[in-house]
Amino acid sequence: MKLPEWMLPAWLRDRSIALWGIVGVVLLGLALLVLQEDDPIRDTTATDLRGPQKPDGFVVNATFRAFDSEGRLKSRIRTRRAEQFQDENRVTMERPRAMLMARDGGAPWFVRSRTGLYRPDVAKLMLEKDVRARHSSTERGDVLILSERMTLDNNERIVQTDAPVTLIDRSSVTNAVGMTGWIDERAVRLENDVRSRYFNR
Amino acid sequence: FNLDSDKPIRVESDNARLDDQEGTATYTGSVRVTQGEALLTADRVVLFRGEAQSLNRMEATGEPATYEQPETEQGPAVYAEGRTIIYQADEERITFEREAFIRQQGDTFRGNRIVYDVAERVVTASSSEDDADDRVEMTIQPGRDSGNDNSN
Repeated sequence: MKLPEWMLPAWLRDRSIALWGIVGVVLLGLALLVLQEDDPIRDTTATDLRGPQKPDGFVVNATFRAFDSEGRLKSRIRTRRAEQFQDENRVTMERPRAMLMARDGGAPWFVRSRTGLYRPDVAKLMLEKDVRARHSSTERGDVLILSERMTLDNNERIVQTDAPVTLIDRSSVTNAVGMTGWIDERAVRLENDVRSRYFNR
Repeated sequence: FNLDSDKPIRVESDNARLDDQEGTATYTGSVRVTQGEALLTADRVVLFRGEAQSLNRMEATGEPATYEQPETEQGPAVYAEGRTIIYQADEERITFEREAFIRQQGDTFRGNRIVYDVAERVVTASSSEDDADDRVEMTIQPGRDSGNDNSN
């Protein structure tokens, strides 16, 4: 509905003054907005990506591969997120998944857990929380090893824990405390309190 | 032990080595092997897996290794010992070697080597071939038919 001319104040009857008035009000509002902002607008994406621990370096969806002197794949570790801390020479890993190749072409070991800590200087990966190691052999089929922590030593080529372990294959279940597994020799030593059940049917 | 039974065989020990390449599981230190009521004790027990992955042989050594089976409907209680005890599943036979001794229903057998047929509950005892002095000792309780026991 258009108001009759006689109802509008004098400065509004002239269109150009009205226009300048509106522009002025808008500019004033913007100025207030900018001044009112005490912190400068900063891009937080990098900080968020780096994470609260403030690592020296980090990789998202990382894959680490190690090769032997003849260039053959020795091990591969995948992780959702790896954070490197230079001074302490450690790399923390979220949900690491490791594959350790057996030397004689035997079946590899597959090991995963919820958290991991890798020490590059000694090539050791310490896994914690819901550790599951799977290893298959022609003799026993798939062997599943469950524990709460396990260390993969790529130099010594062993998988080791001092925690309780459970070993499950298709015809037996074994519980023990402490285990050492030789990746290349396909053998496992159980250190204490060994209890096995063999099912023959 | 009956490796065809659906009762599991339980093994307890201080430590063990499971070797996939050899297909063996070696238990050492205060080893106890049980199945139902049957009990074998030894210092060291090696379990062998057959092709089908189930157990088919058990070798126990001890000072001595012992084997006990309580009385059941199938037969009387048995106690036996030896420096070596070998259980061969497919033959359902337990062999006791070196200072072997078996006691069954009051009858006793002593010799260098004693073979016990688990299914038939028959004892066969023999002396050492290379030790002329080694002899088999048998004690049979009077008043019972001992027709199912033989020694040579």
